[in-house]
Amino acid sequence: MRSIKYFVLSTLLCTTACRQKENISEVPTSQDDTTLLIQRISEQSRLYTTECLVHKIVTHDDVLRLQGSILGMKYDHALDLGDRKIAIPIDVTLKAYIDFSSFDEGNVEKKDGFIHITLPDPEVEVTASKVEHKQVRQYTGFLRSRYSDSEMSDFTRQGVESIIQSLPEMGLIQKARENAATLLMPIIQRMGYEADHIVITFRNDLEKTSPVPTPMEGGTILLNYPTQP
Amino acid sequence: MKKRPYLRIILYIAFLVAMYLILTWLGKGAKIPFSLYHNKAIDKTPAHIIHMEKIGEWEFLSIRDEELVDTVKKHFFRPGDQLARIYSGTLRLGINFDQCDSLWATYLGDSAILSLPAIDLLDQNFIDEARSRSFFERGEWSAEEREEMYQRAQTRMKARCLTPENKKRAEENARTQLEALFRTMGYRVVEITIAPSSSQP
Repeated sequence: MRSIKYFVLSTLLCTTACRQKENISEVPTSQDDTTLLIQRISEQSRLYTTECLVHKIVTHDDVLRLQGSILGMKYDHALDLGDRKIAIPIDVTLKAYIDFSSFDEGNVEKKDGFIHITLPDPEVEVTASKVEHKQVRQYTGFLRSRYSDSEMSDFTRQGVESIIQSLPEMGLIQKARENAATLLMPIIQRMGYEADHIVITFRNDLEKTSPVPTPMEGGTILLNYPTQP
Repeated sequence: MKKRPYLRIILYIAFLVAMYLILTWLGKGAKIPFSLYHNKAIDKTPAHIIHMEKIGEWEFLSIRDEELVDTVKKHFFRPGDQLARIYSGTLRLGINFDQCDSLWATYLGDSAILSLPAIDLLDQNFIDEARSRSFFERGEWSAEEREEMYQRAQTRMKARCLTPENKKRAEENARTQLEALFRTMGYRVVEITIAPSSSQP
């Protein structure tokens, strides 16, 4: 009996010693590498007029439920130790732009000292998104594993998609039109036109953006944002 | 007496398994009497606009880049931890109107004379982490390690994309586009001077 106790004790000591050594070896032996996968170059002519920074805390509450039926009786029971939660703060940069690549003579009309410019409607693009890794918090129940990198990436993507869905409420298109007019007005004025002789309109509506822009509704939101990564 | 919440669940599962086995044994053709369910959708949370501001950035070249960033932590007694992520970003090259002086465009008869700043990266913040994806993961990774990977992807993308060739291509496209634009406005002669770009990425 005593020999068994000594054996167990020595095994435990050996395991503890090995674990300490393992921790020490973790720090200096990391190897890093980067590889280029895709590079796509395209020529553009886009005037970005408005930048919008949006912050969102993406949360996910994952309750493990035991569901089924036995002997004709249905049951649905939440497992207390199968719960896990995560909060991922993200910052998303959206920019609205006017695409000048198809701008031609048809967009400019000059008559009696007036100039009328028709611009393409602003479009919005997600130009960057960033996870605040140091602020990510997760709580994992006894029966569950930690959130994987793949799951966290999926939640981040869902978070950005939900921001895109709420774009019409943000008024970004309207602001982009006003800013485009404010940017172009001084350039056209320097060409010799009086401020009240300049008319700027957008293709998808008939309202005019004059020196003092008027409120406008609607607009096109074109997002080249994939629903799947 | 100490309360053991997990004991109740273990007993419950054991009871269900026992019931299943009994029913199978009795030849009732019983189906599996339980299933585990968990949701994959995020919760509905509000989005806050931190700022919305006017900018004047004219983009002439965009470079979409994907980098596989790989990191490994070696251990003495067990297989090493490994994390490989594919980062996606779009670097936009062009002219920032904030850097233009007040007389960047002057007009003389049917001539337009444009004096523009150097072509440069329009925004240092160009990685889209929502489009970046996990490729392989083993082990646990801290926030600092993830942040370090992000920084490495950013540095690597800049080194690969901000080359003199790409800046030259953006400059050529800037000349073509602006010349066409000012010709559309009625100027027959368009003179464009663009400040030379720095060679540093």
